[in-house]
Amino acid sequence: MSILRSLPRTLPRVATPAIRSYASAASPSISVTSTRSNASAPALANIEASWKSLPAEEQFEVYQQLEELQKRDWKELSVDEKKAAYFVAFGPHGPRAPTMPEGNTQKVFLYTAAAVAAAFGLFTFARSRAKGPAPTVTREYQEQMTEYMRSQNQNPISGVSSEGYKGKGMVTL
Amino acid sequence: MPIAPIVGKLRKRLITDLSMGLGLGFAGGYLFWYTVHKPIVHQRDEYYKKYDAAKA
Amino acid sequence: MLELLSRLFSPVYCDAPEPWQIGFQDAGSPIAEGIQNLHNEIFFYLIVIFVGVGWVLGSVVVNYSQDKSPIVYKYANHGTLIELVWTITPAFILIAIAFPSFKLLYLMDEVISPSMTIKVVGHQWYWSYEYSDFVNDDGESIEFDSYMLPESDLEDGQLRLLDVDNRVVVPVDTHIRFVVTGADVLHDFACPSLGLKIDCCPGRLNQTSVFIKREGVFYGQCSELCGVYHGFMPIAIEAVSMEKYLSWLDSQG
Repeated sequence: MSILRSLPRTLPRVATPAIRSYASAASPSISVTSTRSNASAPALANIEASWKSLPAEEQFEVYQQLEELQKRDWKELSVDEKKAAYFVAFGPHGPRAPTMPEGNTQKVFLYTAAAVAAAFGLFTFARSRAKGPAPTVTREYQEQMTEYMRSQNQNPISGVSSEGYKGKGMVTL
Repeated sequence: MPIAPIVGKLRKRLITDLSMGLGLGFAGGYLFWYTVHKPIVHQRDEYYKKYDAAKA
Repeated sequence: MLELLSRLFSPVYCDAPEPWQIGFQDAGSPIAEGIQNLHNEIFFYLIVIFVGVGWVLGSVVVNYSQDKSPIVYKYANHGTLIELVWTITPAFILIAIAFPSFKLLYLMDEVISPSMTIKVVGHQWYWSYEYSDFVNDDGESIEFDSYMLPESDLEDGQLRLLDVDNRVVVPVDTHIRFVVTGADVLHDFACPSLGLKIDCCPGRLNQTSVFIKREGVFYGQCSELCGVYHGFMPIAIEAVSMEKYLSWLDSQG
């Protein structure tokens, strides 16, 4: 019983030693403050902006430098160093470079709209040279067609000739 | 205190989804059958009844 | 300008039996009724499958998206039970569909001794019909060609692209056999409201039987590409009472 009651207190420490209960762990002498003693601090200051301009060897140097830094206590890193480490590992360069450059969506939309407009223009041109509608496409003729179909008893179950038919028959205009 | 093992979530979701999917499917099917198909057949049969009566 | 615009936005001038129709025409023969019933029977299963698959798809999309998928392991290679389920269920559905389908198919195939035979020959681009059961005094059978009415010859109200000069006149409530063939290229003798569709192949005789239940005119169109005017060789079958049919026979002489 007593063991069970003491477990909750010890469990968090076992589960997450690196994050939670560090202050109560074995080495209380290390102070949890950031350090600015690193000589490379200025070089890492804005690595996100200057990464592209660096040649491959320099990029590798920066990477090795950051690797060395990260071997120590992470809480000693300056904010710049942390940002640089994150950028080198997870930033949008190399394999994580975005596949579509910025502002691409708008370009895609505009070009698509232009293609649709061109197709519409071609369609308009082609249709403008067509014969007009047949003489049967007038409201009067369509009404006559409805009468004609009725006289022939066409579609008598649910169509024009059916009882109580309330539709428009052949009239579309 | 230790919690119970979390198993069977996928199986539960599968059973729910398959039953709901097929259940709603059959419900929809029967709805179609009784609200669309049967009236069509009825209308057709009624027409032929009237037609035969008028002929006789 | 307005006319141009209207031509742009309604470029299809159909004289279909009832404009914008997407359903069947009213059935005029038992086969057409059978076809429509079979369609509805299969549609039932279609709804089952559609709703079922749609539900499962929606559930996966909603519950298993990138951010909240409860599945932790990436590579599930097999799940025997679910695989069995999703193989056996479609098999059952297909068997259920097969029952009414085969029933109709074999019913259509049944040989009902017909009372008369009409020979249909498809030409480029008209139909010709022969009623050889009825010969006149000179021993000649009834033969005629059936051309589509050109637009200029249409009288008020006649259906453009569907009406013909000589219709196929048949009596109601009789078993009729159509023996069809093509004279030059493939054609197809089709009439949807009678459930008729039969290929007319040159050098071959195909047969089909029809029993028309009501008087009226039943239109159809050639249904096998046969050249430039393939769309302009329609079929018009006029079903009349027996008395009218006999007087028509007399007049054909």
